[in-house]
Amino acid sequence: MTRSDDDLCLAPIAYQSELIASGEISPPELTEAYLRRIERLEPLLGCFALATPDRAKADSLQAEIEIRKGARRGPLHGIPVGLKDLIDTAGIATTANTKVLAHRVPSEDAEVAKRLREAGTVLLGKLQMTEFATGKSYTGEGLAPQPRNPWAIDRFPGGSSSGSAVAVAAGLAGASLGSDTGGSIRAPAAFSGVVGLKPTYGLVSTTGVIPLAWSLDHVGPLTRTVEDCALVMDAIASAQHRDHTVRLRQGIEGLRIGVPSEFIASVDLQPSVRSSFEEALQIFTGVGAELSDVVLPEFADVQAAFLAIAGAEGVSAHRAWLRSSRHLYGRGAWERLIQGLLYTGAEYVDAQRIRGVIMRSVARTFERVEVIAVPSMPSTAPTFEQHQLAPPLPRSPFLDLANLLGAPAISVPCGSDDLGLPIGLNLMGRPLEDATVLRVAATFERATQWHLRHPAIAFGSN
Amino acid sequence: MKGGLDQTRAEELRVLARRLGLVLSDEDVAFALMLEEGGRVQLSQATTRLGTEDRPAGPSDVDTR
Repeated sequence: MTRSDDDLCLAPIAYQSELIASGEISPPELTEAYLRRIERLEPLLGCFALATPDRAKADSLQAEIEIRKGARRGPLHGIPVGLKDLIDTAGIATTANTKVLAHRVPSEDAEVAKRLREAGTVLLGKLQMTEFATGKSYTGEGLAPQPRNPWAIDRFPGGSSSGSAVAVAAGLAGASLGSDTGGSIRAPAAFSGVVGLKPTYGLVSTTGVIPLAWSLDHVGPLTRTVEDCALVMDAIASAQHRDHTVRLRQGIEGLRIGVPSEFIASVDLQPSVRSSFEEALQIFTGVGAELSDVVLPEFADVQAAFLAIAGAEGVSAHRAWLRSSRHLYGRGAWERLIQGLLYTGAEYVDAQRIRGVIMRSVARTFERVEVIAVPSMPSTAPTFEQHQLAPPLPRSPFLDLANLLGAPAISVPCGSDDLGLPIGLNLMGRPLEDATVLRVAATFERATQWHLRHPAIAFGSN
Repeated sequence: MKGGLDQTRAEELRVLARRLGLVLSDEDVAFALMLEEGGRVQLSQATTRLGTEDRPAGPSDVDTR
């Protein structure tokens, strides 16, 4: 049977891996299919900061030689991936979409880049992002423009891991890595209709990843299915925690899902987001989960602690660059960092103490439920014009909490609005129970069809 | 622009920035102070509301309670 590039490149990497293992397709053939798509669609979508076709061809050839010798490394061997452009790659520019680091070429791989390389993946390139992973990006500042949302190219795909989400959604990479300090994996996953996991804090190394706020920064995968997400986690997570695929098909009968109804009701949700979320809860009930009303900490308290910690740590992380190169910062990044100057040392400690109170409060909630469900974003993707006009520090009320807690949280596609724009469901679990979060998400995915939708722009290959 | 600014707080902010080796423009100061309501003021309210029974994290992970 002849497979088009569309069929092949939009398929889950789990399926691509089976084709490689059975010899039905070789890593170079798969890689060439992705490179053809990048050549065709990248001018429309702009999701790569730097494509690395020569490296990809070399990686894929090496994978083919090893696999032919019977030395297949695992399910990711020969799978083409992309990395957010703040993840260091030896000998390949890593510039975080900032003029401050315009000529930066690291000499070593970040730990996650190294682990993906050891797993035998093929590097297609570095993926675009908002400057320094700050959430907002203005146009006309000499920075690379933000990628366009493949579902509607006049719309923002979400940030800061914008290119990581777009590349996966449009079938320009099998999987990608992004980073999440306050929703930067899950927001673009929701807006772009893919799966995005922020793992437990510390489970995935951030060594060699340009920091934004050390105690909130996480690295995690963006993929087209939950199983793919688990496969990537097994490659990049701490060696003691590589069981993410094991229980994906066990189901969730009797599992308790907390729903903070009062909090959700207080948020100004787009009607289609609210109805999709309610339908998702019905699906969980249908597969045997038990829903339980829970109360989360006040959003104002979560936001207060988050902004202080993110701000103070951000200024600390950027201090040397701010001193030497303040004039090179774009407005979005500077607006994000300047609020960090407002806090004293005592206030940073206050914020950490509030964080402790919040962590214990949610830990008590997690004694009653295994997972907490909320919408990922209050609305579907805004137009670029709406994004430009939004407040300087736009925040989803649903995402920061997991960063403060260090808890695993995933966004999975759960619906679409009248324009066909994707809607995401955010599932947060107990720290180090990433496998449970993935199992709940996988069960939801099996009961729905949302992960099978792809944007129209992704089709059209021969 | 200066008319609406809390000049005392603006000067405090400039001092904080100078300690970090940064010089802020009037526009920077005005923007930062605009963010105070959503950030620092909210933090003060949260600290009052949630109490201060918690101690900050120590140098080890041992929980002695």
